[in-house]
Amino acid sequence: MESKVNYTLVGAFVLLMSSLLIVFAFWLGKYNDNANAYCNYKVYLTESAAGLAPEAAVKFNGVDVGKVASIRINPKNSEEIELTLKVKKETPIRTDSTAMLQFFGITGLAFIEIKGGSRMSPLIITSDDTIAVIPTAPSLIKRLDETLSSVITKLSGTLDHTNAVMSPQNIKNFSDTLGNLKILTQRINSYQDEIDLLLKNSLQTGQHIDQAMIKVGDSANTVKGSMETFKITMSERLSPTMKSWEATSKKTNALLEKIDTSINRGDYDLQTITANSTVELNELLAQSRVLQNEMELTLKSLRESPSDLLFKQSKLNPGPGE
Amino acid sequence: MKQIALLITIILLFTGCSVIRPATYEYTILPSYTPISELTNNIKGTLKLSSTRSIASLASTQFYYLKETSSIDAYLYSRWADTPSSMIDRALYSSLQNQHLFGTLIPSTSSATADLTLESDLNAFYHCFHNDSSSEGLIDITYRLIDPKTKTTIASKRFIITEPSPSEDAKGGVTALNNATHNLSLQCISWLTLTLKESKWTK
Repeated sequence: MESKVNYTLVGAFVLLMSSLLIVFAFWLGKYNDNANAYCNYKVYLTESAAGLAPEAAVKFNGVDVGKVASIRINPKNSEEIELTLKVKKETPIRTDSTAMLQFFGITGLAFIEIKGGSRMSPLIITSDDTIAVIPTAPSLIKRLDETLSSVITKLSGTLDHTNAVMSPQNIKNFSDTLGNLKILTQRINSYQDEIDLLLKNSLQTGQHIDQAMIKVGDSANTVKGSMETFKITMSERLSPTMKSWEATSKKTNALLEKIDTSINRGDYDLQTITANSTVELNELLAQSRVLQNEMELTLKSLRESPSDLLFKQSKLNPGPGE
Repeated sequence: MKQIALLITIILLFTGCSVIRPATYEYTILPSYTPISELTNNIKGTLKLSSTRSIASLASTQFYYLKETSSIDAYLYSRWADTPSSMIDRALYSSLQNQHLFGTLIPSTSSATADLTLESDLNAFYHCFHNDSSSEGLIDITYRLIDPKTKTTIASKRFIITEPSPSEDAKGGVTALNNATHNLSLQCISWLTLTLKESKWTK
């Protein structure tokens, strides 16, 4: 039996399949991607980029807006991972937007989530020459890691303090304190009768104080009456004395004023009173000095020749030209 | 006997009193009365002249002469009428009055206070004889200008004035010391003018 092959159909099938293969190849090579419809952004992660691969999705508040174009270690800073994101031009990435690493459930696959950005903030401007950088925020894993690390550190410190507080010595001291408290309580219980008696006595003392206060009040009234009587007596008897005293005081005051006026007027100014006398005294002293010198000379001559008093025997020494 | 003793005593006394001695001359230094034609009072303050203090031997009216051998003696028949210090004071006071240098001049005898006080110490007022038989009048005096309010010395100067004597006797000495005193007054006034120039008391 000889099969009949329709070569026309085969040829058409081959052409169709070839065309589809070419279309698939173009699709696979993303030939139809419009490069002008995307903008490039840089993101620098400071945490591990494990799970993130090129072509991974970039989401803006959960909406796919692009993909990760490249991943590499920042050549200028080895602590950072440099991501280049290809994001649709119409995506409103603003200056306060942040990019963070997110994971798809428990699969371990990661993507980049861009969040935030208030409506009033300006858009980030990027170009091929100057690629803008989107700030990063720590991912949930990193935040959990940091929080847990902090909690563990604090917990460890707390445990250390607790250990220090609960030292054998402190436990012993606390035990001793409880023992002492027990003894104290027992003693207080043994003094219960005395305490009751003391309270009764206090009550009686209070009553006595009340009675005493009543008596003190009566005494005060008596003293008040006596004081009023004394006041009346004193005012009657002292009044003339005080009046006499006042008159004397006035006279003394007037006398003092007169003395003050005299002093101010210079009546008792010793310097003025003695001024003339001082001048005359100075003159007298000067003259006395001259007289004293003359007397000294006379006495000197007499001492040298006492007989001169009667006989004038010493020879006088006349001066030049005398 | 008593009468004889009394008689002898009286005779002896009269014998002492009967000694005849030449008359003693008294000299003085007259102040300058030369009138000044132009008033020169350019110091607004008042000046009080304190009495000149002198060494003990000059606080008398004895007229001393000095020889080159440093021996000092007094003329027997010549005396000063006043002490040298008072004569110098009077001469300076008179010269200052004639000069009209100060607004008011207060003598030492006044009880009034002044803006300035002039004190002085007299160390020499002698008629000096030299070996060559020449003589001169010598005055050595130090003046101090005092601010009586603050009791501080404004200035001080020592003057040693010598003037030749025209004759080698007491009369010549008087003439020399007279000239020296007037010269001293003029020099003192010049010193005061220079000292108080451009001071707060200058007009």
